Amino acid sequence: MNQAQFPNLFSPLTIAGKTIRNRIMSTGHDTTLPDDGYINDAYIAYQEARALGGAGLIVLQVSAVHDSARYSSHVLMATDDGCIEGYRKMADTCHQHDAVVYAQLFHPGREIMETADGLAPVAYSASAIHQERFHVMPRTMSVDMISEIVAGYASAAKRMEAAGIDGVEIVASHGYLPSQFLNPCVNKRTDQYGGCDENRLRFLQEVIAEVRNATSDHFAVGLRISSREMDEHGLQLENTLAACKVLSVDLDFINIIAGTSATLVGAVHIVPPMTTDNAYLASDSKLYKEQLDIPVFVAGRINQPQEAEQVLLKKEADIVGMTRALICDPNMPEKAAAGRFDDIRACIGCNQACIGHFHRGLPISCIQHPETGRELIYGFGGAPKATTLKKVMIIGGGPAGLKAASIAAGAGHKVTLYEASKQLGGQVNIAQKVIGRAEFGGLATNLTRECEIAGVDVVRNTKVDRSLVEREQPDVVIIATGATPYIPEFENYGEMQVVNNWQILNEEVVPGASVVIADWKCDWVGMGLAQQLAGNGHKVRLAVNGVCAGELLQSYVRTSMIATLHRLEVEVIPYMRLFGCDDDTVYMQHTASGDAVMLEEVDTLVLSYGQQPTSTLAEEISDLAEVHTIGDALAARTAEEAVYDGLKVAWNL
Amino acid sequence: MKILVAVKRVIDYNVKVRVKADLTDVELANTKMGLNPFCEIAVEEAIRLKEKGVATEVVVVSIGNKASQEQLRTALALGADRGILIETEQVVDSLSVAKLLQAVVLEEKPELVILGKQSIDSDNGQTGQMLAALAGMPQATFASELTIADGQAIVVREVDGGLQTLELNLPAVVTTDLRLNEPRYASLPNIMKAKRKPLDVKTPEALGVDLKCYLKVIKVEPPTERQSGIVVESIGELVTKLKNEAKVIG
Repeated sequence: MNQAQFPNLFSPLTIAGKTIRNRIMSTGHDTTLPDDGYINDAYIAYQEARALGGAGLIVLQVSAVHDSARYSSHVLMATDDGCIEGYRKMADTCHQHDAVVYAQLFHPGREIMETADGLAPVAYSASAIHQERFHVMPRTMSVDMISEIVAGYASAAKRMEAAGIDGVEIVASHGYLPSQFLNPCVNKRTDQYGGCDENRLRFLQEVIAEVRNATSDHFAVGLRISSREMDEHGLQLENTLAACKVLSVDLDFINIIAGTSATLVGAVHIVPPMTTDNAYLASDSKLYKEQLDIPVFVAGRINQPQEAEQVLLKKEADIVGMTRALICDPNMPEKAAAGRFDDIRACIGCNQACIGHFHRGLPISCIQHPETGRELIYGFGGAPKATTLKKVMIIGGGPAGLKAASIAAGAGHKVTLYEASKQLGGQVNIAQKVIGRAEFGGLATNLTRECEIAGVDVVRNTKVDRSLVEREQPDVVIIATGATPYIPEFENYGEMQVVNNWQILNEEVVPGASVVIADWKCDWVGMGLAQQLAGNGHKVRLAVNGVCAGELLQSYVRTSMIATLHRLEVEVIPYMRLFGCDDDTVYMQHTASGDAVMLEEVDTLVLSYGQQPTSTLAEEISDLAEVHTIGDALAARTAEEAVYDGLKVAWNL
Repeated sequence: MKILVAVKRVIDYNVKVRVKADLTDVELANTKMGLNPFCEIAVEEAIRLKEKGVATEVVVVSIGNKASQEQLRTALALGADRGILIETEQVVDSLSVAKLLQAVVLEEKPELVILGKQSIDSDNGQTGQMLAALAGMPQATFASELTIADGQAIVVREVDGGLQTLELNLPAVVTTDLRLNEPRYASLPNIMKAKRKPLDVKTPEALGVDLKCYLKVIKVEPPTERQSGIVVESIGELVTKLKNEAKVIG
């Protein structure tokens, strides 16, 4: 392997006697793959993809140390010996591919997102202080319960070591239980666990001491902490640094992240969206590294090996968390090591199928790489070679067509992809024009590269019709012609300028000073247009047909965009159904009360209603070949469904 | 037949009225305003007559500041054909309103004028009667039923002893009681159409009416809060208390 480009990234590091082959870490993250509290085959296969792809250190998703720690319906439980077998299989699998594997010891305290039976939880925390994001009011833990939970950390760690796991990370990040004890805004105790910094640190000190007692010297014990919780009521940098200076004497590493689960603004940093700077926490971890004598890890929007190398080169951290980069491309380490940079499928930070799926209780995946989370179906590397080679025409070079083409060509079929315009990417080329979404364009770049690698013939500037299909005589035609903006019926009595979202993104129209965006779709397009227009000095009212702006968006993406719109003084009006417009007024109906709402003094009405497929080609050529329709040409959805359609159809040819 | 309907902008009937701190008036700032409910009934009755083919045009008129256009638009959205706003920032008493309406009656020559029996803010219940006197038209107040037939208005009135039926020669003035009808809600299409209906703005000066006010508001106070009651032990005690403490019986 050619590792010369990244001397730091590919230098090994030994922690507690175990050598980690490189500095690339997949941090602990929920996958919603385990469904009964134990590690299952789907989750082992998921992590095997990362180990096989070259990740040095894999940190498993959180393992609950006490029965009161069930913070979601899919949490792993490490509270009885029955869990050991699963962890052992996981450890063996990761070790087989030379990855070091740690587990996370976890108690959420009051941060309980959902329960398996849907009933409100009885949550426990340092004190009874209300939790903002999930609206949980916890009970104060008794001293006896604290002892029981501390013992839970120790016995869970012991089980991990027995299973062959290489170490544990105590999760004190994101406002979870240890952070609740540390935080004077949440810990109002007057006993030995509260009242002063020394007492607030006691819980974590006891946890670390008991975990140490329960495990050997060859078992790594570290701490994950938010260097800052990014909220006025959260932990601040000086608190966490001071705490870690005391704690680090008994630890093997500190893993730095940011944010808190407790509040909307803090939670954005759990999985920072694409508008966040790359490696934005490296300056914090550098501070830690300068003041502590143990290895420091850092994560936070580090999605390319070049960035990771810089973090290491500048001595900002010893190990770099590249979790989403590995979700998107499990083979990223291997490709980086081999100098195949262009082949790396870079994460675009869309949050849609990774953390977005988790919040919806669905198994993890990736919009760019739907094979992720589906390893038991799609394996670890491309489609199996086809026994009958077919001639495949793919019509449309958007996400669906590109994915189908790369998979079909990878299986050995003879694939030609026809694109009507001069540029591949389809709607991605429009979507990336939305302010703050430029990185979304990476989707087209990555899929185009996958087609090149797979050997797809690409024909541009060619609109396929029946006669071309007749001439080519393919075995299979896959129609991926996309969709165009959907324009709803509404009353229009006057001379108001009415435009659709694409017309603005393509700069085909100049909107007036006062704009109303009728946003039925409730995705990032309406919000992005609002941001763009308000930023350009327009007065913007975003009238959404939903309970909030960005109703369909992953919550961290939504929170971050709503914050921007608020700062730009965009007026967001929820529950709005478009009824009509005249010269200067937009007429809406309140979807809860049915009442009329008039938005006056409007120059331009922008329609953000998503798309609708228009092609009739499938019917026209149904007698000529086996025809499949995928992506928005089948039904207008998102890039995630388009890419997955492409994978499914091409895999099964 | 042309019908003229007078409408007034008042505090929305759902809003609990608050008195200003200096006791000069009720608080109107940031208070939701609406169409006086009795006026809304008047508009509804006129529209129903038009829908039955009895009336050919419904004209709504309001007197007040520029914001009163909102209430005229509401009336237009309910189905009136055109609006007239007599715009003034001045406080106008019932007689001034009646004079202004009389001026409009002279211009518009309606065969029927329908008004609310009173407005829920000042509660005077005078304007309809004054207008009838000034215009020399017959009047029927507190109408709970209205029929037009053979150039006459047949009006059922709610009076203390029951129902009274009157026949009036047209043109006439009718004021509405609560049970005359149940007004409709304005539909979105009609709200949109209302904006395109004509709305004339006039001034009291142009109509030649002097707005001299004969009333002066001295003080506005909220009603005193009800005191909590007591439970008495016996009829005898009750009678004693009514005599000596409440002093309501001799």
